[in-house]
Amino acid sequence: MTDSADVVTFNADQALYAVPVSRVQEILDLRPVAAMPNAPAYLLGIIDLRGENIPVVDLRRLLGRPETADTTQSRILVVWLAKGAERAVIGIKTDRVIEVTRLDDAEVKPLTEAELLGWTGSAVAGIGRCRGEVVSLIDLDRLFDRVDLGAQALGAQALADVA
Amino acid sequence: MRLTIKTKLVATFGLVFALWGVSTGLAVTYLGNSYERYQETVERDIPQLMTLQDLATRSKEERLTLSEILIGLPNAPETHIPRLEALLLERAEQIHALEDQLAAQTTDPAILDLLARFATLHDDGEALMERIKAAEFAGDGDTANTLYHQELAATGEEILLVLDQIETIVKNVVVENENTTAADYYAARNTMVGLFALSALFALVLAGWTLMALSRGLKASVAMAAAIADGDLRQSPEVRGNDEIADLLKAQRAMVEKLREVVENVSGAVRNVAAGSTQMASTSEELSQGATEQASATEESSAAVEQMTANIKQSAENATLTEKMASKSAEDARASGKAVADAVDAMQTIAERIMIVQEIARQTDLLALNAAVEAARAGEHGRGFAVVAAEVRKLAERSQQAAAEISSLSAATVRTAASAGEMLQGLVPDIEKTSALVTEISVASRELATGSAQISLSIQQLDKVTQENTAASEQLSASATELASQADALAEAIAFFKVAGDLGATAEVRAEAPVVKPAVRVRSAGSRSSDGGFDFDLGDANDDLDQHFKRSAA
Repeated sequence: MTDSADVVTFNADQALYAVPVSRVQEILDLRPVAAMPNAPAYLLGIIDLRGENIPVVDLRRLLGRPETADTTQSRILVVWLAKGAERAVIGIKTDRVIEVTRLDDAEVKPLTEAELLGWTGSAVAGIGRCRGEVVSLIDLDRLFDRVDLGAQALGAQALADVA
Repeated sequence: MRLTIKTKLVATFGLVFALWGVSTGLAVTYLGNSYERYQETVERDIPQLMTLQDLATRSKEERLTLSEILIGLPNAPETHIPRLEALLLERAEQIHALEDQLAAQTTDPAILDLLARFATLHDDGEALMERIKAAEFAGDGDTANTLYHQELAATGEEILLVLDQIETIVKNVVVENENTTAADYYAARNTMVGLFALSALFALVLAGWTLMALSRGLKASVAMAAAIADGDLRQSPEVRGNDEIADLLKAQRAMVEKLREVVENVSGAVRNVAAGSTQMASTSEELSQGATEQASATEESSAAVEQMTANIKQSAENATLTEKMASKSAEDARASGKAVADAVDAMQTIAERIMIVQEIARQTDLLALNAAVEAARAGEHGRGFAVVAAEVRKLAERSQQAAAEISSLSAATVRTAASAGEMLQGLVPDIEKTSALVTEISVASRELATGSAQISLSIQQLDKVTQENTAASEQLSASATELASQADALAEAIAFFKVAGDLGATAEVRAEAPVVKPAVRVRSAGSRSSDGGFDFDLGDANDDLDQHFKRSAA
C-alpha cells in the first residue's frame, strides 16, 4: 500500500505532523489572505488559487498552539477533505513543509490512550515514526471535529458558503 | 621721734651753748659785783682814806703852824705872825672842809660817830690853840709852850687816834670788800670751771656718742662699700637706729640687694648666653654642613638639569617627528575609512544579490516539493521523477543554506566593516587630537628647554647663595666663638660678684664655655674657584651626557 505510505510531513510549533500525500493538492508560498467577517479564530480567510476561493486555516490555532510570526519557510498546504459525500479543498498554514516521505515502519498506531485521557476531540489518526522522530498522522476529515458546535457550524456554514 | 644726727648735733651744741651762756651770765654777774665793789672801794673808800690822810696831815700842819708861831723868829718881819695866823685859819678851814667831805663820803654810823668825836676833839684843839696863841701873844711863852706840849699834844694824839680808828674802819671795809671779791672770784671761778667741765663733759659725751654712732654706721657703710668693691654681695647687715646713717645703710642694703638681683640675672643671662653660643656654634656647624650638602646637591641638580635639558631636546625632536607621523596617520586613517566604507557598500550589494539567490533557491525548493507531491500522487509512474525532484530539492536546500551562510557572513562582514569604518572615523579625530597634542608637547618642550635654562640660571644663583650661606655660616661660627669667649669673659667678670650660693653656678658657666671648632671651610670638591658659578650650556648637543641617550626610532 504505497499510497498510504507516502506522506507529506510538516511542522507546526516544532511538533512533526503528517498527512497522506494523496490528500495534498499543492504546496503554496504564503500569500495575502482576505479575512472573513465573523470567522472563527482558526479561519484566517480566503486566498485566490487560479480563480478559486480557498479558505485557509491556521494549524497552530486549530491545534491549540501559541502563535508565532510568519517565516520565509511558512507554507500553505492545500489539501482536500471529505465530510460524508462532500469534498472540500482548504489551505492549512504550516510553519514549514519538510518533505514527501514514508513513515519508518509503515504502521501507524492509533492513540488508544486518548479516550482514557479524556482527549476526545483529537484529530490524530495515529502515531508514526519518521527517522526516529514521532510524527502525528492527522486525520484531515476529523480535523474540525474537536472544534465546538458553534464554530463547527460556522465552519460548516463557511464551507457551505464557499462551496 | 626720729633722732637724727642733726638733732643730736643741735641738741649737743644747744646744751653746750646753754651751759656756756649760763657760765657767761655767771661771769658777768660776778664781774659786775666785783666791779661794783671795786667802784665802791675806788669811789668811796679810797677818797675816804685820802681825806683821812689829808685830815691827819692838816691836823699836824695846824700844830706845826702853831709851833711856828710859838717858835720865835729873830728879825721876823711884821707880817710873819699874821701870815702864820692866816695859815692856821686856812688850815682850820681846810680841816672843816675835809670833815664835811668825809661826812659826805660815808654813811657808816661808826665813822660818823668817830668823825663827830674828831670834830669835837678838833674844836677842843682849836680852842686850846686859841688859848695857847693868846698866851703866847700875851707873852706867856711858857704857858703857851706847856699847853702846847701837854694838852694840845694829847688832843693831837687823840685826834690821830680817832683818825686811825676811822682809817681802820675804812681799811676793814676795804679788806672786807677785797675778801668778798676774792670769795666771789673763787666762787665764780669754781662755778665757771665746773660749768666748763660740765659742758666739756656734755660736749665730749654727746660728741662721742654721736661720733661713735656716726663712726659705727660709717664703718659699717664703709665695710659694705669695701665688700661691694670686692664684689661680695652676700651681706645684708641689720640696720639699727633711725638716722641718716641708718638711711645710708638701708640705701646701701637696697643697692646690694638690687645689685645681687642684677648680678643673679646677669649670671643667668650669661649662662644662657654661653649655652646659646654653644648651641649657636653647633647650629652654625650644622648650617655649614648643610651648606656643603646643599652645594653638592646643587652640583647634582646642575648635572641633572643638564641631563634633563638633553632629554627635553630629544623629546622636542621626537615630538616633532611624532607630530608628522600623527598627521600622516590621520590621513591614512581617513583613507582607510573611505576604503572600509566602499567595502561596506560592496558587501551590501553582495548581500542584496545573495537575497536574490536565496529567493530563487527557496522557490526552487517549493517547486521541487510540489514536484515531489505530484510524483507521489502519480504513483509508480512518478517514481523516477520523485527522485529527480528530491535531488533538485536537495540542491535548492544546499543553495539556500549556502546563500544563508553567505548572507550571514556578508552581514557579519558588513557589520564588522561598518564598525571598523566607525572606528576609523573615530580614530581620525583622535589622531588629529594626538597630532595637536604632540604639537603642544613640542611647544611645551621648547618652553621646557627655556625653563630648564632658567632653572640652570637659578641653580647658579642658588650656588652663589649657598656659598654666601657658607661664608655667612663661617662668620656665624666665628661670631659664636667670639660670643662664647665674650660670654666667658662676662661670666668671669660677673663671677667677681659673690652672690649667695652662686659660686658653683659661675664655675658651671666656665665649664660650659663652648668648644667651637674653627669654622669649617665648606667647599664642594668640584666647586670652581673663580666666581662660584658654573657654566651651563644647553646649546651643545654633543655633550658627554647626551651621548647616553639614543634617539628613538626616527
